[in-house]
Amino acid sequence: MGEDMKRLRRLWLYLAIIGVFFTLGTPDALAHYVYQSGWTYRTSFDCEWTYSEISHGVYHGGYSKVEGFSAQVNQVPPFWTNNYCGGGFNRPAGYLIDRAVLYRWNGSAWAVCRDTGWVYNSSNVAGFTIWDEWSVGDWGDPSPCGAGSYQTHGASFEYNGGWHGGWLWSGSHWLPAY
Amino acid sequence: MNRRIVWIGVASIVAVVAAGTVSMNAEGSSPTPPDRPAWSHQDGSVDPNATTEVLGQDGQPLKGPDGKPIKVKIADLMAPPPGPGGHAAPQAPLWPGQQPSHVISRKVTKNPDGSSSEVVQLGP
Repeated sequence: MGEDMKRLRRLWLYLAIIGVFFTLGTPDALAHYVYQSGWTYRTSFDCEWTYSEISHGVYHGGYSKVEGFSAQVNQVPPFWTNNYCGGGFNRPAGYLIDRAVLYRWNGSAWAVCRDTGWVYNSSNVAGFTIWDEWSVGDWGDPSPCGAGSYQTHGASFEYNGGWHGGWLWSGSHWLPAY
Repeated sequence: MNRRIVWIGVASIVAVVAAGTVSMNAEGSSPTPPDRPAWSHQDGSVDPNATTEVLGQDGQPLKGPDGKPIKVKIADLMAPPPGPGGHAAPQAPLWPGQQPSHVISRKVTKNPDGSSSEVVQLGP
């Protein structure tokens, strides 16, 4: 009987955890931040890595972060064929760009809500990060284009005879989030 | 007793999942959005003719002088500038004959009373 009661209590504990998970809302609202990252450009000489994030930010209305990193391909002895993207590839000021475009789901399509425009590096570095708090604070709703699902479309490129890099979707996040 | 506990557990899980599903659907006014727009393909390419609306602070599409929602060409939005530099230069066409769409400049400023105002400028 005592063992049954223990099992019953354990069962109710599991149910409570599951209940909290489902009743808090959509899965994207549960995460404090959502991101994707990866190599958006790879050749036998250089590579570009991009990071794209959306989160609720300090003011709960939305925060985007985009990071780019330029790398050179290292070749591994003895055959010098096992190429991998390795050490940082420093580029002069103006040769690296990042951009974050904030999209909101309008019920039938993803539409542009905010845009940082192209942001350049200001010194000789291999990568840099941009971030933006999108909160507006009007009408008790700090999300910049009304409550809804948002995501960041983040880009990073390095210039090496042409722009090398690409765009990544962060994944969606419900805003505002508290 | 054990069987009773199992049935209570199963019934409770069904009830909780059902309640959670209702909650999720009620939170948004629309179905769960897809991971990416239809114009953005898995391999990183985009539909060159795709356009997107631009939303205002109220979540409604911004409208041009003609009263129609402003549409921005995705290809223009995503194209890197022509070359390196310290400022955002006009974007190069992605293919011969491509015409640039609207250039949208917007600035949100905080007012002393705590509200914010947004200035949107449309260029050719």
